[in-house]
Amino acid sequence: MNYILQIIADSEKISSNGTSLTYSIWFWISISEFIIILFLLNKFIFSKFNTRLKKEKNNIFNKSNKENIDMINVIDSINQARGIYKELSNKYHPDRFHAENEKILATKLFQEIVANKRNYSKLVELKARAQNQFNL
Amino acid sequence: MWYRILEWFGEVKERYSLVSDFNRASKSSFIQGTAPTLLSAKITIGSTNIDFKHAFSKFLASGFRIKALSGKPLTKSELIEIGKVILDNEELVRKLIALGWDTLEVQDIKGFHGVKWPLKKYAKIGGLLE
Repeated sequence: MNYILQIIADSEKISSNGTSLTYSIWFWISISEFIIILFLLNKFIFSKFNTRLKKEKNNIFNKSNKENIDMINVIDSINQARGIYKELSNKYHPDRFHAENEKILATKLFQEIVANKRNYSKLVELKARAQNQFNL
Repeated sequence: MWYRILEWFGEVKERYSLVSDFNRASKSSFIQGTAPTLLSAKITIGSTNIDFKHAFSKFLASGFRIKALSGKPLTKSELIEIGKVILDNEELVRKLIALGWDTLEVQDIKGFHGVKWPLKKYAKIGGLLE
């Protein structure tokens, strides 16, 4: 206690530069209190909001991280998917087949082709599958 | 505190590695001759439209821009096709959103013509980000 009183008494003295030490001590004490209050506010008031956001973010991030993105496929899809989609949709359109069995197969295949119309690697797989099924 | 700093640095690294992966793949397919246009991706400020923003949007770095560097100016339909390929890839869109991007921009090399989409509309995660 005596030590604190001594500090306050010292701080009331005017320094040799002519500036008051009282100002500097109380100023820094108030700044530190302000920082502590901000930290506590952040911790307690916004903690619920922050944890909810973090959970959502982790969920989305984990989902996207599990499936590693094949950038070469993305670039190939941009440049070549349109051509291969046109070729497949013309060649294996259900209206081109007359036999009932073939028509059902072609309809299923065509639906998959349309669903993956901008996915190059999937379209290449479908092309190979179609060639096996129809021998065209 | 340290956790937050490390998390921030990790995210920044992840963002730049995604952009460099895209650029590397684009370059290699252009060199091999499979791609007639060279695409380059970069991080931009993003859209000022509030409708584009979502909970994870980064401040002043929320735009993922793809610039098409081809010999001739691209038509609007070609630019839209490039964007649609990205938006149809659900995993890529989710990754872009998780890493703080909210706008996909596709631009031609000449002038300021381009198209942009809000990524949150294509994420298909049940309106969590609205």
